[in-house]
Amino acid sequence: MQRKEDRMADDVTISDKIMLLKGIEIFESLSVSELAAIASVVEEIDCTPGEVIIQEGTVGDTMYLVVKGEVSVIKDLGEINEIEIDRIKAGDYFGEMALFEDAVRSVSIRIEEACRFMVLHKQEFKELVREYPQIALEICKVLSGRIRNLHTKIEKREFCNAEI
Amino acid sequence: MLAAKENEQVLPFILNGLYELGTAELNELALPYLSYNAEKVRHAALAIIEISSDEHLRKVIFMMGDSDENICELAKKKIETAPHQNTQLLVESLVIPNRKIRKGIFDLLESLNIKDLDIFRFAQNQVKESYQYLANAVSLEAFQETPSRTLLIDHFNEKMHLRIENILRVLALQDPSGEIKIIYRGLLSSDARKRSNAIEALEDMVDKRLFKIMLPLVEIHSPQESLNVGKKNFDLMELDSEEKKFFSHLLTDGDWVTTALTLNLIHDNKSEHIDHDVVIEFISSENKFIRKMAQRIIDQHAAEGGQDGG
Repeated sequence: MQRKEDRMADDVTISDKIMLLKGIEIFESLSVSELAAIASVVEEIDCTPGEVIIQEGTVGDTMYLVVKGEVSVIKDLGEINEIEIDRIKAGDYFGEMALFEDAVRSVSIRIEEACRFMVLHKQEFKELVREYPQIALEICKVLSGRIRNLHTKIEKREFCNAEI
Repeated sequence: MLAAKENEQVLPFILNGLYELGTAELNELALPYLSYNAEKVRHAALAIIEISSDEHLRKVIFMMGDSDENICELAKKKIETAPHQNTQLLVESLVIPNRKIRKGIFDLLESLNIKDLDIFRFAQNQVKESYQYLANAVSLEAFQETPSRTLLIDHFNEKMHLRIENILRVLALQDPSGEIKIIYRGLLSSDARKRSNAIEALEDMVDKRLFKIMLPLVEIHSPQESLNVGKKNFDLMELDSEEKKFFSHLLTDGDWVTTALTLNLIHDNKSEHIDHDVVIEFISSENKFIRKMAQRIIDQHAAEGGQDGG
């Protein structure tokens, strides 16, 4: 595994950071002040290809937003039945559920193209929510939408099974 | 001594001892301990703080929301007997989304005998600020569309709505009938009829002068139409008055987000809207985003052949 290099990116302004955060579903309806508060605590890190930044089965406490580069989402990394299930590119994000729960990571994430991430840690996020409770409320809306979508999918599936 | 880990158990005694010894700048030493984990330490820190400025008052107001009842009571007592009083700040703090703090403030408002006039002044100030935010947003439309411009306009519009919500929240808290709360819900509704009914009801509930100046901000008008009403009632700073003055006004808003985004906008527009002496002041800001953006403007100016090399 290649060593992760921590450094402050000089070319990302506060506006850029806010715009990137606004593109994340769980943050999209937050106010500029709330997004700026999140932007002020995110850490910027650069990673090199081949590096595994999330290992399946470990407990995670960070969310990653891809500023540039590409990562692969892998199930059973290093096992005989290893399978790549997705690719995540700039502007997309992963690991957001780690901010709310203590569950282990369900997949591994490997760097495919040199990446720059904005990383949000659970502790900073908890402190932000204390100061801006609206953040939690907006996230609840998104998560509730996700549950509703899942219900719809299950209902459709049940309907199809009944048809068969 | 205060920072030494082995002294953690005796921190309350150290804080008290420093007070007894008449240590200079005790507030600066004690303030960080208001958020300490141990209740005894928070209590001891609060006990020795003297409220001598708005900043101290704000910190102590927040202590009324502490999980420990003794600390809440002490905070209340400290505000009541403080040498520095600011009833306007107390009324404004009613918008803090914390039930315990609001309860504490209401107790204080009763004991400090705050009149309806203070609430009216608070509401009037909030309306004036709303119009100023609207004027800022409208003025910024004149600039080339960039992320910083879009964010600043959104930011000012959000701040404008927040001020109106503040007024309604405070009025609702002051209204034992609960009608303002219902009106407040109606005004936030996406149903046009409910909004219109709420506006009608609001007219009957609040001071006529206040309603008249609030109406363009709660009814759906074009920003320019609303702003025209604002200009008739208040002296507002606009871009067309003087460009450099307008940007200085944005930079001194006191909100770091406004300052950082304004500097970003100045940079995007090749720094022609501001005196560089004003920007240089931000080089030593405590906020890293403001510092970084100010430095970029200075560098940009220097690269364009300006005299300030930063």
